[in-house]
Amino acid sequence: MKQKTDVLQGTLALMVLKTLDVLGPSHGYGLARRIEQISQDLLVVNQGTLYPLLLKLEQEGAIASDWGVSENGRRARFYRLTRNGRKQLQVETRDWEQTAAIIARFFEAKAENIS
Amino acid sequence: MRALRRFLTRLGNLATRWAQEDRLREEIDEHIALQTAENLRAGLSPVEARRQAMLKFGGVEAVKEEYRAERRILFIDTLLHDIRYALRSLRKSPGFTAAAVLTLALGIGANTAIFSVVNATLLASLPFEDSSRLVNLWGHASFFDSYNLGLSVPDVNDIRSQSKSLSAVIPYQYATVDLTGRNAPRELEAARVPADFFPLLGFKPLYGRTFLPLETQRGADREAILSGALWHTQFGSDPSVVGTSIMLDGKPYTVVGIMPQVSKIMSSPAMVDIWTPFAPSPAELTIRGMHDISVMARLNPGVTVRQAQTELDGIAARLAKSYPNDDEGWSFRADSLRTDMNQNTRTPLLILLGVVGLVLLIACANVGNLFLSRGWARRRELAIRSTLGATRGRLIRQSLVESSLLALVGGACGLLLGSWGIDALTALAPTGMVAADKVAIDTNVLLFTLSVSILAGLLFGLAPAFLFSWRGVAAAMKENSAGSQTGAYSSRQNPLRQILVVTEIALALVLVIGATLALRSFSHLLRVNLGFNTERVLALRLSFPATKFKTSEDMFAYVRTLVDRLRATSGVESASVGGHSPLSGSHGEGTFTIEGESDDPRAQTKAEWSTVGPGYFQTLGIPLLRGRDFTNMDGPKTTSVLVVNQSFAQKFFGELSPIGQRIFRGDEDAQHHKIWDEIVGEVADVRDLSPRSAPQPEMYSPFYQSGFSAGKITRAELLLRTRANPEALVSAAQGQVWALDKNQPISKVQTMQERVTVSVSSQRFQSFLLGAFGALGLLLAIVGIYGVISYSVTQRTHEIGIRMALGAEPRQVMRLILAHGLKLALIGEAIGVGASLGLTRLMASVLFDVSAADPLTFVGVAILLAIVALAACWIPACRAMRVEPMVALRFE
Repeated sequence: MKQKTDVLQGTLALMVLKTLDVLGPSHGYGLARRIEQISQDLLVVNQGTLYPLLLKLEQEGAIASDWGVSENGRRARFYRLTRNGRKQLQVETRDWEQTAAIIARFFEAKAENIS
Repeated sequence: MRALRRFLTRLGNLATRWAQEDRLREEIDEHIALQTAENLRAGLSPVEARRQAMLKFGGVEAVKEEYRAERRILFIDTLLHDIRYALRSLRKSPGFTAAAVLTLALGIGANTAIFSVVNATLLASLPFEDSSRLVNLWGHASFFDSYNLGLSVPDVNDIRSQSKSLSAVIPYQYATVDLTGRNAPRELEAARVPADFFPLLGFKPLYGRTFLPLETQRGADREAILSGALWHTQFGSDPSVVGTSIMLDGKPYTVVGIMPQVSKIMSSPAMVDIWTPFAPSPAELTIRGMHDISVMARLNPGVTVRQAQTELDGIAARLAKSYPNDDEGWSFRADSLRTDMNQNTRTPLLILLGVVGLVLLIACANVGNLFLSRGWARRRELAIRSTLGATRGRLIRQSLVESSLLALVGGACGLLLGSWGIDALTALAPTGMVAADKVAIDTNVLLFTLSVSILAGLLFGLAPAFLFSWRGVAAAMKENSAGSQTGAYSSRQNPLRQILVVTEIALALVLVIGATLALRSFSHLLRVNLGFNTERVLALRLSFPATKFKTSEDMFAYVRTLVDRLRATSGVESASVGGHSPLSGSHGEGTFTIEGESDDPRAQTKAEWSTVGPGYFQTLGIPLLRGRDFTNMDGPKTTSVLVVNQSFAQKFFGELSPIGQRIFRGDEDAQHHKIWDEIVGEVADVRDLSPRSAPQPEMYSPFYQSGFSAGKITRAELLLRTRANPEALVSAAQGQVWALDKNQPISKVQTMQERVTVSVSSQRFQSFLLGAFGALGLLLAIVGIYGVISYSVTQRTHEIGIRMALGAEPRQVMRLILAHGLKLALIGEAIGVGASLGLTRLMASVLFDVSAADPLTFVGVAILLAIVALAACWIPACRAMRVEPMVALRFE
């Protein structure tokens, strides 16, 4: 039974993958800021919840991580999309678009069209 | 697929815990630092920048928790955590832990020990190839009473050719042979077997070979195969003995093979000392009426014993019709080997297993009570954990982990206790009941102990779980509430404890009643009148090789001389000879017809039959009731005479005197005239077979008339009544025998007292075990009662204080407590009596002279247990008496 957190995590995962795909390797903080920017601050998530999600994606093999140097000059962990992750992104994008299309058709259905 | 990969990674994460913790911390620090830097750039003060950054991040600890939850396998994680927690709390209460482990160790250890015996005897695999398909074939004659008779060779051949369910039918015969020419002469247990015997069982010789078919012809049958045990003890494990010649029964036999050693776990032709070929005499080969061959067979694959039995019944019916003279009334019975093997030991062992099971239940009840007390003492801790977010399931799981841990430790200690128990059991057990060298802790036993421990742990671990389900947890938080200490409330916590104690008492009652019945039965057995005087009697068993004497006169002369010499030995009061003697484990039977009754051979009756010399009855102290004893006048040339016992006289002649009546036992003289035996005396009954079996009709022939009756006598027993201790005369008696013939094998020297002791040894052992376990169960139950009553006194201190403040005398308080204990005991006893009435029926078959519902035992044990329960309540009651009202009223 999917709970709210699961659904949220599912969409958040999609966002993370897409972000990594478009903007390339990034560390946790960078991802959080960019997701905020792209969603134009409509989506405010506690940044901390990103980290368990990143671990989950890494354990599934969708992303990989490595140590790198951050803007501050200190050590930071950078995440990048793997080939598996890219495939997963494509599949889930397609699913989302399908779901959205079905829902859209429902919203457009007027009383007369349903007999 | 993804989930699987995630799982495996998480599994691997168990190893990299610390590294990942560090990494996360570093990442979080860096994240917050970057956010702080951005806030600073946006213009906030350093303090504010950091605060905003942390707010934006969210709860750091919560994130860490979630991270960890993601990283690990939750179940194993909490399990490890629970285990560590349980170990810590167990270490903090050493008294509780010690008590629980000890109780469990006792209960589990007893079960381990008994189960390993059951494992080695009832469950053991037989050392034969595919032993589940091996059966024994027995003959049964409808006009005889005996179920385990033999078959005749022609019948065996017919069965072999007609049966489709048996793939191999193997006849064999037991025999005793004398090995002479090496060291002291020895009597060996032997079996005469055909050539396909060893292949049937899957036995391959260590050295040499097995018998060839042509060796099973009479005349070509002077070959022998040694058993491993014999080879080790008598032939010094020397392989070169194969091919040499040994003397058996005075004849030379060639050793052709040596078999590997097998432990003697049952009476079987495969477990004798030595084998010779089965070479039946011409009479045995052709006379269908000679039913004296033993038979083993193998079932075809897929055939059950019952199917084979049905087929055998059909074959028997056909044979009875075709050969009415020989086979009418005969039928065959097939029994699997295992059934035959375990006949005597199955019930007693299963009873024992039930008994130790009950002991374990009592132990679990005790530990359950201990857990309940502990749970109550930790109620505040549990309440706090509950409010901090632990679900009831989590609390129960933690309690189960703790109880399982205790159970496993208790099980390990029980294994240790059990192994000592096994040593004790095999040392004390009479031979034959327990295959001593096979009883050990093997994988079966380990698995059994493990499962028993786990079950026990689950059982008493769930008891506190009931504690949590009541409103007690919330109420426990209220420390000052008077309601938490009133008798009414605390008794609401107590029903489970009281139920446990009542159960314990019931179980203990069942155990003690069972043990008492067994002990009474054993004492009756000891006091049974055997019919003869067992004191100061020495018995020496001699066996005569077939070549020793040329005629029966020679043997009589030899024996007479021997008896006379023994009589003349100092210290000997009287001496005699007999073919058998009481309790020797062997007996003879004879068929006969009574003069004046029908001549039809099928109307024969049978009775026990022995041959005895003059003075036999006197030596053994068997009173002569009518007529006379045998004298030296009774010999081969005088009238054939007989002495019978009281049962015989009563059965066949009623109130009339048997003296003068004549009996035909099937012998004919040289002119083919029937030889009639005349009854000249009647003696009192003797329990010949065992103290348990009632005396049977028995007839005695004179030893010195028996030469021409049932073949040559090959053994005799010399019986001496000594003036002093019979043991002192053993060497003197042996000396007399060997002075006459130094090669005479003496197979057994025993005092009659020893024999009596041995004959009741298995009952003694059983009673001892039942008594021991009954006592153990009782002890545990007493501890249980003491614990509960003591605890209840502590709980009710407040209430007692009120009572005393209101004017109750100490004596009344004591009576109150004792009454509480007594009530519990009586309820338990009522349940126990009901259970006993049902359960003791199961042990009826091992009881002697005691009914399974013996009222004296039941009432006596119930009273005893009530007294014991009261005694257990005594100390807590005294404690209650000494409560000071003022202190009690302030007591929480």
